[in-house]
Amino acid sequence: MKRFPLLIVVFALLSFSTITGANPGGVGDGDFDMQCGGACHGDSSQNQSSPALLELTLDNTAYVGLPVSISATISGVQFSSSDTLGLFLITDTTGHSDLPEDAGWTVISDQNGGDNNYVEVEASSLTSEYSIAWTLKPSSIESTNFYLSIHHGGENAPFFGISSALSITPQPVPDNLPRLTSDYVPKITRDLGDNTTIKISTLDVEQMDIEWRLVDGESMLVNASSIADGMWQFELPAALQPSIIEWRAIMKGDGPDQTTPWFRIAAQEPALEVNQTQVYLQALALSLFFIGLVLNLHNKFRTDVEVAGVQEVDQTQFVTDSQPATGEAPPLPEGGLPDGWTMEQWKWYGHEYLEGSQ
Amino acid sequence: MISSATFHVITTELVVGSFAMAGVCFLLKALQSFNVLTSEKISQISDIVGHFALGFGLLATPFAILSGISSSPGSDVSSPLLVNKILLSMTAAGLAIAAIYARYSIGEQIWASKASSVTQSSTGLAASGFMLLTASAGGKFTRNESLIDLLNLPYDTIFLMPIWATSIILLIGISTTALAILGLRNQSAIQH
Repeated sequence: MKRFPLLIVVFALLSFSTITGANPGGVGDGDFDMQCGGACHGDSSQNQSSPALLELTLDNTAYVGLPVSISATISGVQFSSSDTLGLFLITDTTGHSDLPEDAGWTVISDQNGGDNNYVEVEASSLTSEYSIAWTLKPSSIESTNFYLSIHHGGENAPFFGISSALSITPQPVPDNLPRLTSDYVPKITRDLGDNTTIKISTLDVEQMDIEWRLVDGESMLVNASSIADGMWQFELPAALQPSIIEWRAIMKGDGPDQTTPWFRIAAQEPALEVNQTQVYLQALALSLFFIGLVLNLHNKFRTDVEVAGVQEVDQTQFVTDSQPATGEAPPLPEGGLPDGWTMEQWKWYGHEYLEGSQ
Repeated sequence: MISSATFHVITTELVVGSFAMAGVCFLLKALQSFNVLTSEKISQISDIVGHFALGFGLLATPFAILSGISSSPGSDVSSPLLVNKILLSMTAAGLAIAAIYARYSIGEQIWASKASSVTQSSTGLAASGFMLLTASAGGKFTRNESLIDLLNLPYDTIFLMPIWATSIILLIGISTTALAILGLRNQSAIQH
């Protein structure tokens, strides 16, 4: 009969593992392979097929060394509203070495104002159809297949899905094409409360207009001013709370007009400024302080016990009848352990008590 | 090659699992100190398992700290949560070292008096508690949620002392640790 409660406990623990097999709150944006290093969904064999419809589209012609946007459309997701939706932009379906960087593409910006291939979207913000975009830059003319993978929860189970391939072959840059320089990397974060001046380096550009907007807001058009040959700048207003602004440049020159993809810049709390040495020193000090405190307490208690033992026990007897070498406890007196004694204490000091009572 | 983020997940799971196991054992020993449990078998098992788990967790802790630093986004300490994680984990490591060294140098007699028994089990429990708090802060940092959110702990507040105060505590720590080790060694030598 004793096995029955044990079986219930084991069964409950095993059942609980299916509930806790995933991270319902997500794992945060990052650069992740499709299987998330095993961290997103506890066991990929538990995955069920997501009913979501996934589609990737290329927004413009991809040129080597120039940024281009890849848009993703997600629809038909059926899951609990408290879940988070995880979306991967990957270049392979084997589950490893599938980051865009592995295929020679650099992620410049993502939906959430970072530069990751994996982003998380709160489920409550999803409507029947949802669109997100990544801005990337190819480094070679090689053709690459892109896939959109989705991880989400629902009905106490993890769901997984993957889109069909979008094949992209970057083109060589034509002569006189107004464009950003190939080493230009847009700023993607800024501190709250600061006006932000954005500088842009270009080639074959004679005039530049900037269109910027809050995400899903109304667009504003400003002129970028030339500050040097091939260098332009414009200013974005300060943000009073964490938010994301999108901007793109419309470039004119001898060649056909070009419009860059939407770049995202996220306004966030200023990064913590703290003296790292001070932190590590304090951590070390706390560690040593507690070591010293605990060991000194033990030292004191041990000394107290020994002094008490010396005062109470005759020394000659102590030598001859000292505590048993075998570590066995002396026999208990009639009526069991004396009040306030533990078995541990009785084991080591019980003989002294017996001697005292005699 | 395994990424530092994945390595951090592995090492933190080792640390948290070991410290949690040690915590259970030290809780049993604490109960025994107050005569709530009297089983000799449980006493021996929780003593050995508790200290072994604490030692194993302690071995894995430096790997968890280093991989955590290398896998955190941006600079080393870019968030108050990360600062608190460093302080909590080092405090836990200090308590664990103290518990293991005390058990090693005093032996089974550490459980012989109520005072030292309570001190030892409290030290082990505190080490486990601080390490679980560290793991909770890690969950808060990566997933913005943690089981210990129920306690509403001020993870965003940093208790950072001025450098002079830190230096004083460091000196006190070094000197008291050295004195205690010498004292324990002398007592061991007299007994043997």
